[in-house]
Amino acid sequence: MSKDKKRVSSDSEDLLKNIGDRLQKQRAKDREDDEQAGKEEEVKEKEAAEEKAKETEKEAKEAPADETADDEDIPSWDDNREPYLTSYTINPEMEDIYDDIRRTFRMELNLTLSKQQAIALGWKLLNNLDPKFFEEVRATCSPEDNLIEALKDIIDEFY
Amino acid sequence: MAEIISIVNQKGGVGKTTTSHNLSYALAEEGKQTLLIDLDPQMNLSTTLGIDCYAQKNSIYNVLKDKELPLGSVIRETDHDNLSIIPSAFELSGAEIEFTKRISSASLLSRSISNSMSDDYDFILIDCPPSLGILTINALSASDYLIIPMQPEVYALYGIDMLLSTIEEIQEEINSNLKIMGVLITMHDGRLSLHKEMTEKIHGYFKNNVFDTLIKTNTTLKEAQSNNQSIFEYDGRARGAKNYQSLAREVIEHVEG
Repeated sequence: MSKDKKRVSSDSEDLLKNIGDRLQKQRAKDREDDEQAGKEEEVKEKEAAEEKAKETEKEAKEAPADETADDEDIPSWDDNREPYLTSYTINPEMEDIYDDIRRTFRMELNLTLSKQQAIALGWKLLNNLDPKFFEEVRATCSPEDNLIEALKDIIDEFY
Repeated sequence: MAEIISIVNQKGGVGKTTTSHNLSYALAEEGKQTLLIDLDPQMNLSTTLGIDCYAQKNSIYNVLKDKELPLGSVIRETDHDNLSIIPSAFELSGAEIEFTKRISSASLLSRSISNSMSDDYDFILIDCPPSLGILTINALSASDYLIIPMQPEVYALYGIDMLLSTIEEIQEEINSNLKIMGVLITMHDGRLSLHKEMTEKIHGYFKNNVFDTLIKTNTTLKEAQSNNQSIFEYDGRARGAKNYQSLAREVIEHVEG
């Protein structure tokens, strides 16, 4: 047998290349799936951390709030989160449109409120359509009347 | 939670059963609780482990047929610590005709692997039959990973090409979590120029999709089989034993990251 003899034909080599490419695609897909799973895990952890921070903040605020209630001239909707927190569990139908609402609120409010505030406010408004809450928002968070009107529109649309 | 690994290639005689047997033994030796499932109607793996498949009251066949019968009820202990087996059954040879009539026949095995059973083991290895029929599809549907043993020869490539299409279909339709752990080169004879050249090319084209461990051709592996023993029981110093030990470590590293 000659030393130069080709033992693997070009057809076989093409097949090897084709299989190699398909295997690489599989590996890339696995990597993407792992990254996606990692991201989802990260988001969950972040949400859990935010939730925990919120609870801690709430607990911390509850005690001094009672003591200083009389001194507070301007009501803060941050002090009154209970309705939207509990509504998440008692109004399961809200979960279906929760993502839409959250997106819209973020869009409408991102100039004046933090993301977390916007979400919290959204939930509160959806469950408390009493005008005093709008006034509260106006007094504590935003000086823009137009924004309040926009919020009302959103609530009409979703609620 | 157990990692479920199918040893699969529709080509016969590529070392699926030898790999299932010796890899499971090596994993057990590494302290991993390991369960072997023999899905090959030829029953070679079960026979090698000293089981009389004809004498079973209930078998894997009954479990697949009757959803009320738990898979745990057909598990048999082996003489080796950390290693159990679900033996094959001669009735499985009729499974292709019998099970394909049923709706969701592709998920019979995955349905029967309960969570509690999965918690009892670190690894579940499935020895697949040499076909791409309903039994292999059941194995792929239930698995997290695949190991594809292949000889470094040209005909083997055609089989892998076809197998990849089946895998892609299963990932698309039934089990999106299925991953190829790697191609395992078996029966490698370093004296043959063809094997050397093919192995180089396989590594070149398949890159990190091929195990670093090569299972070299080894008379002791065949002798161990003839004696119904794993290579570790027959001759733990043999090259085959070292190869499978190295493979087990690669597998552990892969799943544990």
